[in-house]
Amino acid sequence: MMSTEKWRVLRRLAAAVTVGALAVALAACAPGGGGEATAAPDPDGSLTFGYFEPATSLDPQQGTSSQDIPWLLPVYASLLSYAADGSVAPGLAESWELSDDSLTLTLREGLTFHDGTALDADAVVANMDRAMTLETSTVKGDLSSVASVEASDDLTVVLSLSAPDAALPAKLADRAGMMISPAAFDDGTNLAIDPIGAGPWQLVEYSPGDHLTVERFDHYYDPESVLLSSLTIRLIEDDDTRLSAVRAGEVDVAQISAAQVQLAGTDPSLEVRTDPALAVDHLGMNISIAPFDDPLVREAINYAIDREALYEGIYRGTGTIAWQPFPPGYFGNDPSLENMYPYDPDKARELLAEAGYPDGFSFDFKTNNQPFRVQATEAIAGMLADVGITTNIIPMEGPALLDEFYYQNSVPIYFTPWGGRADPSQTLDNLFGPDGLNNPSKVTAPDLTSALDDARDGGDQDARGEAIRHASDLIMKDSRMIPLMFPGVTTVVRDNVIGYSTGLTGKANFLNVGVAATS
Amino acid sequence: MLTFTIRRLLTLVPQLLVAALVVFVLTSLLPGDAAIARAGGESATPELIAQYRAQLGLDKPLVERFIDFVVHAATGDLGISFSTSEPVSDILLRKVPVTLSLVLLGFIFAILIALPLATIAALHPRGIADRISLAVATSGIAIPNFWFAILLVLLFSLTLRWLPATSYVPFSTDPLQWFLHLLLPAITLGHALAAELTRQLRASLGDHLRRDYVRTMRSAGLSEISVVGKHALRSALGPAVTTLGLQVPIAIGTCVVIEAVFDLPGIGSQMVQAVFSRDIQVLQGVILFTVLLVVVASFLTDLAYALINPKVRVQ
Amino acid sequence: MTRNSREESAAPTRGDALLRVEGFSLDLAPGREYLSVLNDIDLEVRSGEVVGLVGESGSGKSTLAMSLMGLVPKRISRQRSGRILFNGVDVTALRERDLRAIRGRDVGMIFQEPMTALDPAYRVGDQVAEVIRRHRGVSRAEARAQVIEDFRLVEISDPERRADAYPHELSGGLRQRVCIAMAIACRPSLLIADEPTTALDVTTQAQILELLRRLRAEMDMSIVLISHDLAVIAEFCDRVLVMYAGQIMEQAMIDPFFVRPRHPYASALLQALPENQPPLNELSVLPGSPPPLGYVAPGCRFANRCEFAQAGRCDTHAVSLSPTDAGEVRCIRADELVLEGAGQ
Repeated sequence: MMSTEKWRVLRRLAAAVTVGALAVALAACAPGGGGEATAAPDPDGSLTFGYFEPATSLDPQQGTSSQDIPWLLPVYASLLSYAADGSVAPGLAESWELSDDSLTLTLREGLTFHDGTALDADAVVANMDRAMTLETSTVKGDLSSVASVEASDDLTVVLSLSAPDAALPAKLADRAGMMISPAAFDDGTNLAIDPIGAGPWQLVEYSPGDHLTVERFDHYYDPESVLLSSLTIRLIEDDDTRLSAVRAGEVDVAQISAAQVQLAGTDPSLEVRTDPALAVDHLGMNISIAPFDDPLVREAINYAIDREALYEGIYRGTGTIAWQPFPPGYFGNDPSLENMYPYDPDKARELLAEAGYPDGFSFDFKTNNQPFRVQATEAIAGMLADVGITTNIIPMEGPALLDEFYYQNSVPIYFTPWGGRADPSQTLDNLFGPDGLNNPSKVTAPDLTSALDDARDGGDQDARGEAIRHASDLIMKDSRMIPLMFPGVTTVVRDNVIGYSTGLTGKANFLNVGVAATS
Repeated sequence: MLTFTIRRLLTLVPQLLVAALVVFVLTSLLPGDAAIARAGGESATPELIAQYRAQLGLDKPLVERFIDFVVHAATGDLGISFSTSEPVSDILLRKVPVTLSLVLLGFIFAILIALPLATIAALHPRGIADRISLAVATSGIAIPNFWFAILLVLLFSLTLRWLPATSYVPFSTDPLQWFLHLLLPAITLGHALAAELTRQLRASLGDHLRRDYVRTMRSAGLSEISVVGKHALRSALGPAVTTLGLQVPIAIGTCVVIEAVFDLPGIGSQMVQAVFSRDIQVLQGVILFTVLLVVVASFLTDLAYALINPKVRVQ
Repeated sequence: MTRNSREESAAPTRGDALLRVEGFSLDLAPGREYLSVLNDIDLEVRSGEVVGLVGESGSGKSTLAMSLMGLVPKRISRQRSGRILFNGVDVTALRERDLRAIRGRDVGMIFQEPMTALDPAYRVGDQVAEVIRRHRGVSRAEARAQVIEDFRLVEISDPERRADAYPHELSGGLRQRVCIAMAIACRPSLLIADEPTTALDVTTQAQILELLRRLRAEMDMSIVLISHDLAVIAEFCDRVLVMYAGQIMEQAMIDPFFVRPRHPYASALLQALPENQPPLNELSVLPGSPPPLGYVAPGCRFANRCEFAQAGRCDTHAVSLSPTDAGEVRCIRADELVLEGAGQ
């Protein structure tokens, strides 16, 4: 038999060899440059985008994940759209008029779906009917304020409202406004895998859980913005693999994690960019579970968290520290809330003592078992331990954790990313409203409830902004939220790609993006 | 041999039934409700969940669901994916060739690495080849597959730019590209599998080379090629074939990692997706297929063993 | 029938030395270090002669048998001196491929364990046929025909059917007959039989010995029979060599040896021999334990177990072989002692 000494030498040797090989490989990677990008996009250009989550469905009215959006955007056009700054802009409808009891949309002339079906007022009505009546519709909630939909002529659609809904146009710029060819409703087409829309590209091939390939649709309403002849979205779930694929030139654009920024930055043929977005990472809470039902305890946690340390250590210096639900620069952001709970462990301990926990307390700190979330949870657990709150970290699979948080009300607090919503009221209502899906306690306060109503009913952009800021103030005053970070969206872009940036929604969109003609 | 084959085939039926039961129970016991996941998790409404529960048949009693499952599975109907509404058999048809290609090439690489290495090592114990075989065996076990895979990608894809880093090309589309895209993944798998195989083969060949019959063959003046290749190696392959058979489930497990690293759309990555989306129908199909593969592999192993070792056939 | 093989090699006439071992010494390294296993071996086998090699286990007799045809792996062995002449050719100087041409063709070997001496994975007929084809280069059909003929020769009934059997389907006696058929398939001039009957029951043992006796007579082979069993040797051999701790202690013609052995060790072996009964346990033939592999002593290697050993005389100087009436003996007191032979 072999002596342990020999084994140790062998093991060390093996380690040395692999590390050596890695060093050589890295050194070899460092120099060298990519081709020069020219300004003119290639009219026959094609681009491959690497994405980290599969689509739950390519039927926009039945998909259940916000991560479906990048898969849907190439194929489906919405009634309205977002401008670069996040405000609502024309889409399939060239204009709209919102009042307290109706929204009137005026469609562009001569629109068609990919299958040749006319996209007229009747098609919109058919879509709205399906969205509101289909049993498994996931956009029903977005359209809850709509009482009925009618075509008043070929190009005009009137949505009658049961209650004022300032957020409705924004929702129609999102999934709820994506128009599906009504011809596919009844002919047995499985829209989940065989999408037919009126978007800038039409389906060539879809292999669920693998890739989607689309080609330019010649009758898109804004042909100028479609620079790519074809577009492929590849599902690459593993972060390292996604970056490798970009570095190998097999993928042109991909979102990466903060931990990869440094490595990606060493490759001169790649641009690494972090674009701001509405998504906010925070500690989701069930404020009906003691002791998190006590505002003093929640406030203590807000003080106990060293966001600077998270920014440097966990987020690797990307993104923006969060003090409220909406990021700086957004119209719902309240500058006076910035730095409201600076890191102050002494203050946290005082507050805990005041709340009746001079020696702190302990709880099961459950988390999604994704490595990043476990890391963040561990970092936060360390900060809580500093002020006397000891935790027992339990990593779980996503679905099991959500089941416990939302439906069994057995998770008091956990690290969670909130993807952001088209309209700020959607975020506020979901997270803090009395019926909020993401507020499992359903606990609210009368003043907060009316602030949320004001924000939703709004009026013009300024008045709504005011109402949203007021709601945010109330939320943060009671520490109903433990905001941590606006992570933004970090993307690697190969140097042959022209004009890519991620919008505020955080979802990749390839309109006005091209690839340089290779000469 | 024929009766042996038929007898062994008949034992597959209860094996598969038990496997189906285990698969069904385990997937049904998964924490987290398929209906909740299907209805959107964080943004699901209670009505939507109830709707899906009924649509997915989750409101029926467990026994009824199991009988449905077995009866349908026996006729090749594995149900409809909870998440994409595709027939599960279609999904398998798309993904299985990827994983089978990978496993097949992986085993070929494992054998290509292990056979010469183990043979030379067994013939020259304590020689250089013996040390190399030990190093291979050690590295195959000590270096994690994903790490080995990343090193390969770094070297062959990103630095030398000889081979693709990700994705898959079907054999029917382009056999050369199929091979090139699977080369690094298969080497990763082969490296992992070769470790145990080399160790096993070296030991068993060393053992057989000390056997009396090898002495008989040598004393009768037979060449070393015949003594080692025709006689000792054939018998030594018996345990090695068993090892290979036992490694099929390990290989499929390893495929989960390898498919992730190389972004191959096989059943390994499908299994992971199905778990996370609680797509039980797909999960059951994938696992059932995996079980089928393992059972068939063990059947083929026994058959190969019987071919090698005539004693086995009698029992 | 015996002609075929004889045509290929120069056939010595009866009485010439077919095999001659001269001063052969060999070290083995079963572990890290080399041990002296065979020391200054001299041996001669004349054409048509049957020579018995007797000794306890570990005496080196099997290693000697393997050395005769260069079958001790070079990797773990080291020849210190001597040569082995077969038909006048030094076997120790031959290349491996030339050795392989002699093995199986001019020299056949059979071993103790018929249970394991055949490859379990192949039909026995095919294994014998492979040897025939290797040395004769004949077609499959011709080899097969000869296998059947040889099986008849070694008295295997129903040879066609038996040739298609796997080793595990045959009894020990039948398997040993297959091994013999393989060893004599090319009509060798020398057969080396290492404990050919030890693993068999008494009845089978007698049958196999009878078979070997018949084959020897019919085919005019020389035989080296290795055994720890003097009864077998007595029944079968013309001459006997007694080995102890890697040395030849005595060699003599069989009849005088049994009546009057010249070495105390040979005498002890003969006295331990129960009448017409083989010893049950090879290891406990006589008092004291057999020496370990590689045992070396300054004087006589048997001295520490010898009842006639004299301190200061037997244990100080190495002893060489000296001639006797019937052969040679390695004992300085040989002329002083009158030793007992096999019991009357």
